[in-house]
Amino acid sequence: MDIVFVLLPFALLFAGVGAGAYIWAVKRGQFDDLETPPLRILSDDEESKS
Amino acid sequence: MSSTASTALQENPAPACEHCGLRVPSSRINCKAEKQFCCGGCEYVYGIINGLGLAQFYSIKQQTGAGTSEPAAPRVSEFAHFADPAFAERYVVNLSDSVAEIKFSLDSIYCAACVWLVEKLPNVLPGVREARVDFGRKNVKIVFDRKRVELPKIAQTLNSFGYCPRPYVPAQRLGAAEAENKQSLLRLGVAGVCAGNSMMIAVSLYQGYFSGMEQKYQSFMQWISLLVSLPVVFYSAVPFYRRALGGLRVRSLHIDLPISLGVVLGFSASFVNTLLGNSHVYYDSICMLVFLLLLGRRLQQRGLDQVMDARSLMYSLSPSAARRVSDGVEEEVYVETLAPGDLVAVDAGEVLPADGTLYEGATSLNLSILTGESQPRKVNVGDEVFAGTTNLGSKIIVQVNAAHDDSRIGRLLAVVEQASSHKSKLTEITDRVGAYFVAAVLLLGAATFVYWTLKSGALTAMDRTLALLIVTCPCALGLAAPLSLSAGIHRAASRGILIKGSDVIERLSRVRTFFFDKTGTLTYGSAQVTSFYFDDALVDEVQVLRIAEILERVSQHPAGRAIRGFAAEKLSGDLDGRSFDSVLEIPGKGVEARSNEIATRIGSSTWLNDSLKRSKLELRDKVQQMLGDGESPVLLEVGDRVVGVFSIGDALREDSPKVLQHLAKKGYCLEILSGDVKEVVAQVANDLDLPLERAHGELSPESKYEIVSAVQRSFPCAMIGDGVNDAAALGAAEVGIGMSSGAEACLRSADVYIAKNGLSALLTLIEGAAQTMAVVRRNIAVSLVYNVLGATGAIMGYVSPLVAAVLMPLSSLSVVLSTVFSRAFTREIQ
Amino acid sequence: MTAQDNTETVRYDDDIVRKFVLATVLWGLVGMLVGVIIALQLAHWPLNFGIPWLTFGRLRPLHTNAVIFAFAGNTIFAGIYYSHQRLMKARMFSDLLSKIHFWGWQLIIVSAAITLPLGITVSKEYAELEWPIDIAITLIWVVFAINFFGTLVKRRERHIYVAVWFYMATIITVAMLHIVNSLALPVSPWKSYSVFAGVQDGLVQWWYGHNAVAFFLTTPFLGLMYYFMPKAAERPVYSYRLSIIHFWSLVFIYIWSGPHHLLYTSLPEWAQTVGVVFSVALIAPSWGGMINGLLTLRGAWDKLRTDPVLKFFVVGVTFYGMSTFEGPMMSIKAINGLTHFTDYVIGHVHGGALGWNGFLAFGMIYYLMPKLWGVPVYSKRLMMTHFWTATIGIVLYITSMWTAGITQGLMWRAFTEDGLLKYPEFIETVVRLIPFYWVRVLGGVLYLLGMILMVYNVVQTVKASKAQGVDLSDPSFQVRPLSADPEDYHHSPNPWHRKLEGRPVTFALFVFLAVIIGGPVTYIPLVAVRSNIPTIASVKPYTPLELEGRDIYVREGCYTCHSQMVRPFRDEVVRYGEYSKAGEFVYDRPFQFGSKRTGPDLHRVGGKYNNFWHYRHMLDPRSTTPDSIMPSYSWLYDDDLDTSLTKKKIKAFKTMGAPYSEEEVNEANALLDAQAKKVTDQLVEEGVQAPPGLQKKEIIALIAYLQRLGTDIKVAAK
Repeated sequence: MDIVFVLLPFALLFAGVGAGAYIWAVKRGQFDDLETPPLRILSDDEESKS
Repeated sequence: MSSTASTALQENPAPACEHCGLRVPSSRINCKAEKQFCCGGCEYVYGIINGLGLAQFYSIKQQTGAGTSEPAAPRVSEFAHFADPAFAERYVVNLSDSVAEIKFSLDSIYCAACVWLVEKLPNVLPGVREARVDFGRKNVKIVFDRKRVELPKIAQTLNSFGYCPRPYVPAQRLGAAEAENKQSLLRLGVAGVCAGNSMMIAVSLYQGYFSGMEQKYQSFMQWISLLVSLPVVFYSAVPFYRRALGGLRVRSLHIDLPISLGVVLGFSASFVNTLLGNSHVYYDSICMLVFLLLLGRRLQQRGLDQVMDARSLMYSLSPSAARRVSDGVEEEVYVETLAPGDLVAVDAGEVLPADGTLYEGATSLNLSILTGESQPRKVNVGDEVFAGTTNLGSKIIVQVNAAHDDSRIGRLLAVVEQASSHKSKLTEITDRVGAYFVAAVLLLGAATFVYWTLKSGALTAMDRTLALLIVTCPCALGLAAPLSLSAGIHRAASRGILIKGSDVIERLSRVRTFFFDKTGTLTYGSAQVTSFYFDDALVDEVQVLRIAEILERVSQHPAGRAIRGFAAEKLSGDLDGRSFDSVLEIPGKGVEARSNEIATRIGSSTWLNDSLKRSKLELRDKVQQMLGDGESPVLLEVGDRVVGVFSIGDALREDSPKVLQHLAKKGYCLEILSGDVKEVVAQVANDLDLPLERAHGELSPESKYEIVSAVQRSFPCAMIGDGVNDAAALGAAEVGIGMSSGAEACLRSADVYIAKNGLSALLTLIEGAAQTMAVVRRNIAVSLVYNVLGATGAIMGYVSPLVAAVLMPLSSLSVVLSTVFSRAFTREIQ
Repeated sequence: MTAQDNTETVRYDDDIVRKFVLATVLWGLVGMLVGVIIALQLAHWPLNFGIPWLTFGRLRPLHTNAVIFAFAGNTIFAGIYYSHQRLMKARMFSDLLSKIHFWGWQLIIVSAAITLPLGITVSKEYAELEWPIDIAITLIWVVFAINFFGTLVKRRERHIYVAVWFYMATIITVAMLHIVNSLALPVSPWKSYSVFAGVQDGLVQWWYGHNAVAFFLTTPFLGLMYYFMPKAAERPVYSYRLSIIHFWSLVFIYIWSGPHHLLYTSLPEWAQTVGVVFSVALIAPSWGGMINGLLTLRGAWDKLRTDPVLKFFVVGVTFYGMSTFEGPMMSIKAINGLTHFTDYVIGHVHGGALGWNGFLAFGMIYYLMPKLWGVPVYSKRLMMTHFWTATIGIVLYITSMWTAGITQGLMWRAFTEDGLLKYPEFIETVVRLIPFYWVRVLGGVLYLLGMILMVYNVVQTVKASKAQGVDLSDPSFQVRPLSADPEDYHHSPNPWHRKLEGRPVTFALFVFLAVIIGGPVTYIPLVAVRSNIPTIASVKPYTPLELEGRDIYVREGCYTCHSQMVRPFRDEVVRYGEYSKAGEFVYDRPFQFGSKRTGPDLHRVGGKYNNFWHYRHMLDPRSTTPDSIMPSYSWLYDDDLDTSLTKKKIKAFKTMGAPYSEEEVNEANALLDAQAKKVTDQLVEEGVQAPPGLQKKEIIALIAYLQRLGTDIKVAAK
């Protein structure tokens, strides 16, 4: 079962990438406003056919 | 008449307003137009929106089923004062030399279409880079190029869309709150990742512990979980260390001390075990402990953040704009630039921007915001007037002597903010009990370590001490009180009783005296028609009510509005569409109308005294009796004779007597503090059969504050009120309870806010608080017993650190379960 | 400065979305057709027709790959290309990359459709494609990643909606998992051997296999749900905060799933328990997603009566809830003991695939048709019929499989009072399931019928759009200006990076470098790790003939019906023999545990029957077991064994740690012929009228391999 010496670190690398993305998101203020985005996607613009 | 319009009219007699969807009143139906509007505001806004080619607003609104909204009421103002450098300096953040950012709060944003419309600003207004709506906090952040567009222009456009912009809390305080929130989110997220993964590794270690695992895998897994717990121990848990050390520096044993100790010792013990290669490691317990505590603290903090600080309230109470008069020319300026001695013009229906003396004109002011009294007070040249009051009569000129923060209302709010901040500490009682507990644990731990090192070597000593620290970890105690209190708060909230802070319940259970404000608390607070008589010989009831309603339609006076409401309700809606041609409101007297056949007047008894003499004897007695009871009569005169009499007063709430008797029976001492006239207060007192010396009338907000804080110094008392004048008193009392109809200032300073109208919720609050305290005491007892048993078990060696790590969450669980099944606030008391 | 120049016109690329939608519909039909065929073959074996490339063993991988990577793959690409542009308010990063991605992916699908029926397979479930195609998949996936993240960087909308986070998680995870799960040492353009062996290969395949399937069939579809369901219902999502929480909890600990496919196998117990605990915990994020999806319709439930798109979405999300409840339940060891290797698993898989993935795809396509082709969908009635036929089809499918699974599981473990197996002959259990297989066929046919209705509906809609000459040019949209100098507001995070957009080449180079460095860095330690599993002394590597026989076993896809893993249960030990130990699989590249027992377990079949029995059985299974539903493999008796690669294969095994002596490598072919002669002589001795050149035939190698299975530990016992 020595594979675990590779599987586990690689898996935790994964969790690390996830954590990094989470930190980037918090710093970039992606979670500042969690009420408006769901409304914003509803009002897509009338695409002008030109 | 275009055919479509008429057919539209026939099909649905009451068409919906094109803009806000409300029913168009029959008086506003315009048969010629296709589109009907319920008011001028909606029509204006509808024109603007279509003019700018943003008609999609209405299709989105209809699609997302947003339903009806209040009618658009764009404020008639040029927002010139936004251009004032002082205004910009306080609210605008400069991102670069040309680009700046400002936040406006827009109250009437309520659906996806509003968000879309406001965010269309850049497409409509060149120079605006971005408009970003925050739907939850009802504000919009606008990034604009200062060289290409001016703030007033932005404000006017927003206003023309039907969203009147008000400056949002100044930028710098906002920045601090956001940074702190991000910091706590980061720590929580990191703790989450590490806790999740270390617990997964722990599962394999536990399984390996029981059914065998090769040494190389076990140590590999231990090193990995060591690695995973590093961010938790050295980053996420830092706030605990900081608070613990802070407590030590001031020689008080803060509850975070044992938590920090538990984490550090647990980590070092596991580190030692990983090096030595034996199987006891507690990385997962530590990570889980830190994650759960951070989560619990964050949820509690979110509850407290709901309270808007008093400063931003100030902006909503008094206007930010004022019209300064310099040598006859009126110019809109930013309120903070008003200097003592300036002359300011205030139209009818506007709010006074500053304290001052009346320079020109005479009017009546609604002082309810300050004194809580609904009866308007007449003022004329030379009288003192205050910021925040509303001008009910005609246009006046005021000479400013104090503005903004140093106005009377400003000073009052300062008191409110200062009063409410010192008491909102987190779970006072747990800290007190916690301190002794912590001292005991530390002493015991040291003793165990020394005893067992002597008796059978350092290794067992380390194990025993660690077991003791983990098992007695204050998780149960730390959770016991706050959990049951927040559960109580949560259940109370579902009953419409909003308690701001868990320590309020504890303080409430110690209160024996209750001070009640009269207007708005014991009584309805708004002017009500209490009784109505008419001379059935001359007129019938419907006629009187109809005429009264038409006349009072013009009046701004609270009494006028009460009569109109009373008439509309009595006639159940089918009002007379006609209106008199010349209608004039005479401030302080009433309303006079003349039409071709008859002259009619409605107003105070003094103004129509002579025609009263000519009217029926029975009506005259009624008027005398009303004056006796402290209510103000309003007479309706047709031709030269009074035909109808309305008595305006402030009726008692139905449940007030019942509630007060219930409290009296329970042995609470009850008193009334009111700014109203002495006779009225006395009248209310004997209605509630309270001894007269317990009812104090004609009190100014400052004197209410003195009385309450005087009593408070000797023994805890509670104050229930709703006006801004009660705000200071609410802040001073041990527990301030604000009524739903109350002004925002009072709700800010109150510890408890009763959202349901009526006083019966007060009984639920008091009884619920007592039960919650019982649950708290039970939880603390359970956790103390558990800790004592756990500690002895650990010291004697029966409880290994591993078992301790399992017992610890179980103890918290037991506390949680005992809280969940408690009956506090479950019963609605009538 | 008019308002006009205050904004910039952006044109969405809807053409690529149309391509992906049509591809989805086409490959959906193909994949489901193959599904119905193999279902028929199980119920009525003669439908294998004795043709090599039509036999069940080779068609089943084609079905799984077709529906997962072709049907579901094209669905998510269509959904991502459509929603990503609108959520980011920007056109895709590069039209060229979009085209490469589309045509490359379709090419991969065609290559799979050719190689799999020809038996070119790696036999790792849901990752059966050989190494050249794996590399192609990786390249195309990188192209997709560059295109996707490029659009993300030049987005005009500051907030990244939760659906995009799901897409990102999908792209990154699938890339990593695919690479690690396809690591193999090639010996020829269409043959390679997995870098890992035995239990380790099993763990890698399922630790990563489950994630590759889950990250291909769960997270992207959750992303689609979070975009398309609110749009179809015209209601904001129920709780955006909940979607954020359940996304991050999913990403943080998702990597621990997988071992729950190997419960009670020879995986160490501490690894099995992690799989169990994780899978049970997985119900929280999954049901968080379901609740969020369903409650989005609060206040709009009446729309469900009339709108077929919402019908598909709601029933799809409900099936997601059902199958993500089933998953954690099945990963509890006690239940797994009963359901593992049985048809119950097939019920779970199809509840999720047909219900969740299928219905979400159908709902999305019906939602997109009017938007992409500018005309309403051809017939609403057809959509409704498709919905009802497909729903009944799924219900029939999963209920029949649940019943078959439980019947199988219970019959295997049934003992009579006096301690004997109640059903000693495995065939007794198989025969009992045939009626359920027919009900499944009916369910599959109904589902396929629904798909056919959809294809017809789509084709007619496209025709109508062409007939009306609808202008299908890309829709343009006013967007805030891409600021000339991004420095002008350093304060707030500025998504409009003119700088980066100016140099797409460097950005693409940067990503490419990352992949190039990343790959070897992770690859080298893997090879270096010699799996020094405590080898059982008597376990020896396969002889050249047995190795060739094993490759035939892999080629014919025997693992799709037979397992090679005797579990430590009393009934299995009595039925098959000593339960399998980890050490026995050290030289199995790739591992052949299998995940389904339509036929009996083969790990202890070595020596159970004589060569003659195998010889007759493979030609005509009914001759030895009368009611057998196994297809006949007549071409093994006609085709000669291809021994051109035997030497290279043994050498490859040696480089990967198998203890072959240098002499065995050089004399591989001679050794093979010698053993083939021995086997043929034994057959003749047992009464076979040997046709000319029998010794050269493939059947001899297969018999040699089958006779060797599980015999090593018996050697030690003697």
